[in-house]
Amino acid sequence: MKASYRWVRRRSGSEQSPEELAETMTFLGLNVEEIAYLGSRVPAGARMAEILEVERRPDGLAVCRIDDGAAGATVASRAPNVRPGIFAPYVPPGVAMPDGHIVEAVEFGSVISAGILCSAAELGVPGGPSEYLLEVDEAVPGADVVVALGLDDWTFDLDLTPNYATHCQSVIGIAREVSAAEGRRLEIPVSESPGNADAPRADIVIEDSDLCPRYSAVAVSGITVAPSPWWIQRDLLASGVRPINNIVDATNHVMLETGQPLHAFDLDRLGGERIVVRRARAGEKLVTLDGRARTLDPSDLVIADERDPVGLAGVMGGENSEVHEGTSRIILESAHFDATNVLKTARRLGLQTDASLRFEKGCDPEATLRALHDFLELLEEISPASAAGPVEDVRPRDREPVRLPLDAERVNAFLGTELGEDRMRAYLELLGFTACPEGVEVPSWRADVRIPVDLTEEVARMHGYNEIPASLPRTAVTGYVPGRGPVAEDAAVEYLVGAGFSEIATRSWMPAAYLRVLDPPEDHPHRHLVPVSNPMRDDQSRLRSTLLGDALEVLAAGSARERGAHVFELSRVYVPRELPPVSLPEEPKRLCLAASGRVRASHWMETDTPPVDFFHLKGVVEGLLGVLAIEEAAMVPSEAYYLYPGRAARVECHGSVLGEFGELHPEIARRADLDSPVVIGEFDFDALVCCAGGVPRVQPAPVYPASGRDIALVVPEETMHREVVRCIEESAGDLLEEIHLFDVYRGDPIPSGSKSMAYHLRYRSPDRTLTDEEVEVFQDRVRGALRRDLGADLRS
Amino acid sequence: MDPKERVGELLHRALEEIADADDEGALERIRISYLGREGSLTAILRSIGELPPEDRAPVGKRANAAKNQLESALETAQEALSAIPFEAPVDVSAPGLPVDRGTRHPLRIVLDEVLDIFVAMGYSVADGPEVETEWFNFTGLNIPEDHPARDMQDSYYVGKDLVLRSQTSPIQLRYMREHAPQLPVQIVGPGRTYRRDTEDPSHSPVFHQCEALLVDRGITMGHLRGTLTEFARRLFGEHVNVRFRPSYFPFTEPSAEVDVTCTSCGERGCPACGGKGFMEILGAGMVHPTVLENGGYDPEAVSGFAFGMGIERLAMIKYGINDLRSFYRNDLRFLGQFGGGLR
Repeated sequence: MKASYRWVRRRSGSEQSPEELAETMTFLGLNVEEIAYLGSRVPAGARMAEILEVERRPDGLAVCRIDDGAAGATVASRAPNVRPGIFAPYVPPGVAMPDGHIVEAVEFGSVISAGILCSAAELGVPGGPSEYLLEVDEAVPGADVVVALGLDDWTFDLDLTPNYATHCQSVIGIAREVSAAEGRRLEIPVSESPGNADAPRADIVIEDSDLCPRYSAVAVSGITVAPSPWWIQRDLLASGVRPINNIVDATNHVMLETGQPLHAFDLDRLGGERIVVRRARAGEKLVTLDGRARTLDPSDLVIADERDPVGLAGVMGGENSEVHEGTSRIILESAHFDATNVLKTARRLGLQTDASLRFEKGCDPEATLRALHDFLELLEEISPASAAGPVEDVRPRDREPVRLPLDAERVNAFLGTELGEDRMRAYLELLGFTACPEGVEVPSWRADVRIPVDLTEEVARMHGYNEIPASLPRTAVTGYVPGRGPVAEDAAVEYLVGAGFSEIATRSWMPAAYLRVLDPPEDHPHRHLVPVSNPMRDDQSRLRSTLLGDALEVLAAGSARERGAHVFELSRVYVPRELPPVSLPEEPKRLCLAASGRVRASHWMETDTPPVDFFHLKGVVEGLLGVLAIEEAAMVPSEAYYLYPGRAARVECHGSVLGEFGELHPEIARRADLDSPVVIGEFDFDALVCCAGGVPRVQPAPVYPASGRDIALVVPEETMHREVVRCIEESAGDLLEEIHLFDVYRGDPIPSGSKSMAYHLRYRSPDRTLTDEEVEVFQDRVRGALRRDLGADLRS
Repeated sequence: MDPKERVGELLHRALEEIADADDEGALERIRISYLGREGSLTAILRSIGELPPEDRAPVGKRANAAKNQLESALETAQEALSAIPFEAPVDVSAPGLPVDRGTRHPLRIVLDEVLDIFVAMGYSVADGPEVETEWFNFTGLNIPEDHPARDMQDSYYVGKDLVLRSQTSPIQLRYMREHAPQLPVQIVGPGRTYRRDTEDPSHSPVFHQCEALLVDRGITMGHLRGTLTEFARRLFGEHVNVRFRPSYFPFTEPSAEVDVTCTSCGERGCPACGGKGFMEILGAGMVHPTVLENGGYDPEAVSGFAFGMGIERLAMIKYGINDLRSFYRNDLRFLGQFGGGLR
């Protein structure tokens, strides 16, 4: 909403500068987003001129002699309203106009026009009319245009929160707040124009008093439609509203000042003299003022004549009853409509107007008459020949004012202040609240004040939020014991970062492009996606079931770099319980690891840094399992669709799957445009947390020396390391401390189809030094078992 | 031969031999042959008594001096031979073997910092689902049926009554309903949130918030001011000031927008803060009585405050970043900068 600084000052009596006022308003909760100077584009050198003589030429051009406070000039104009005796802004030759062009002396036949007389638009006033000359009745020739025309004003652009939008979408509303902040209660003089009993009467019928609790109206005859006087246009322009004609401008002026929307119907265009406020009939049509045909619904409230709707209540009038140049009789409406209903209609029709924006927040139901009288007062100036009929005010029910208790002790206990009740009452009275036996009566314009805490807020606001003494609460500190989840998360993140992986943050969607790249098998859980009903873009139409797609996209973007990218993400995925979802989906936490390029940054001492591969990622995974103390985990071949067959492992623990990882499936790599080697894996973080071990059980460092032995065996290619380890562990006895695979060899002299595996075995006793003979016994048992169980050929 | 000359000759020869010796064994042999029990110099020293009395002193003096000189020459030679041979120097300006470290995402860094501050102040960390029911996301938080936030224009819906939560505040409600009537309720609730905003330098449809809630007997708005001042000083530094501007949220009353001293200009006014000298960091307020009731607490008996902050916004202020989208581009050249520095 926009408001004029000068207008607010005029009504509030405040003397603050625009910047000071904006700050005052902001600390009252009326957030001023922007301040724009109204005269910012007025050409330097523009001055007021009196039009002394006008000679109309046959081609319509008016040749004017003007007094510009200097030597005078002759100026040509095509404006329809140019005439002797008026004052208008004049720009002499040589001056740059707001649109950039330089004013020049122009020849029109025998006449040389030295400069131009300007419209408001030509002066660069936003929204200013361009079709006629900006004219005023009085000015000093040669005077500065900005000051003479009141363009030395500032437009505040306010971002009002809903609670202040009820009563601050008006100059008076803002002025009341500002005055209160300055310690004055705003007094609003009430104008009352007696109606003329001879003039026509407005005949009003309210059929739905829930949606229209009050309808005030007056009929006026003898109207002359013309441009408004400049001061009204100026007030409108400074408030961001375009002037139209004196009648419409006057309704807007009153609305801007009081917050009460008004609407004028052309009485002669109504079918009959009766105004009916009723619900629309299903399928009924109305062409609104914006020229669009609207199909109405029984939930919409309309203003109708005896036959048809002539306006959408509180939203917009109808074209069929619009005030136009030839209008001479009007019915002026000043009504109160139900906020929610106006909101619904406006929203359903996608139609937001200055009126609907005020009604839907909740207008002052007591303002209708006052606004009507303000309008009639204006009318005396802008259309002096008009005659108003008696003011009608239909109000089926009286309004019950809201009365709230004021418990000073509670207010203080809530705010942490020590204010006396007198002080609180004084604050509230500044805002228009009054004393009553129950405590405080809420003024009619404060639809936002409904419960006692609303009063507390008003007291706090008037006192100043920043005046409330700050202190720390003294609560019984319960202390936070983080669960296993957060602890594991911190440990995993710290480890992965140390292992060279950078954390990424991606969004929660599953774009179709990811599904195309991954192409999970039919019915795979990755295909079970929570749908979003109202995405803004196609790629937001589903929530992700896996983090893989995002990780691949990040790798593809970063793969050009030498080390490639080593990244991880720890985030939720969304698993529907049923489709379409009716209950909350599951939101398990996943950990995705992905790397491309080489295992390390290259270095001049290491000429050939190896590329990432299965064993690189496996090392990282083993480290992670170590950090989380998951000791029982087993790694078995995986057939995950996104991994390279035969270079993929599944991590299992106590029968549950912790995750899968390996080299990326080459078809996915191709679809993702990844040409460097990629390893990737996804883990169920909740399962990792579940299997994580606690505080480690530690032993003293060994006292007695260890005995080491190497053993090399030739086994068939299919024999897995895991089987060898199991065989050794089962045969070596309790004193075996470690098994370390230190070489795998294929080729001459090992027969093809076989491989040689070399292990270092370490034995240690906790209570003595082992003798060679003892160790040899263990080794014999191991060798025997390897030969017997695995068919190994032992070389040493 | 004159014994004095003999001593001189022995000394001369021994020194030559020492100079030629190229290992410790040779030196030992030289020592033995001159200074050993059977050594030639030892023999002269032993035979001094046999010399004429007038010769004894000069010869003795000369022989002892020779012995000392020889011993010291041997020692010097010994030291020279046992010294460690040094390798050629390296180019100390050449790059060291890198230790590849990754970085935590800046949003995590800032969130962790926020959580640490609150945990140190006695708050517990609470959690909640991102897909929420309309009740927890709107109704229970006192957001009326016709509030624009409930509009399909502003929030993402998932089926009929389910929404992608538009703020972390449902965490408050869930926690209160689980723990009522326990006191105090003192939690922070971080998480992802969703709003139908077009992406631009300050908006993202997916973003992160952190919520805080304290409910107890006698909690005041002064406590809210004190707590937020403490929080801002711990996060941005001792020197920052905090100011409140009245605002509106359906779930708090009174409500406030909270500003802190601009980190770029220290309240002098600069482009980063739009000349205001302050930057908006969060929304706060006293928990609305309806929300307390919905949480299972009696607003007549207890009161509370709540506030919620955007993690992206805090990170932007803290690191001087002006485009929120950089957090989601995951360019490692950008992310790599968050690895160093003390808090």
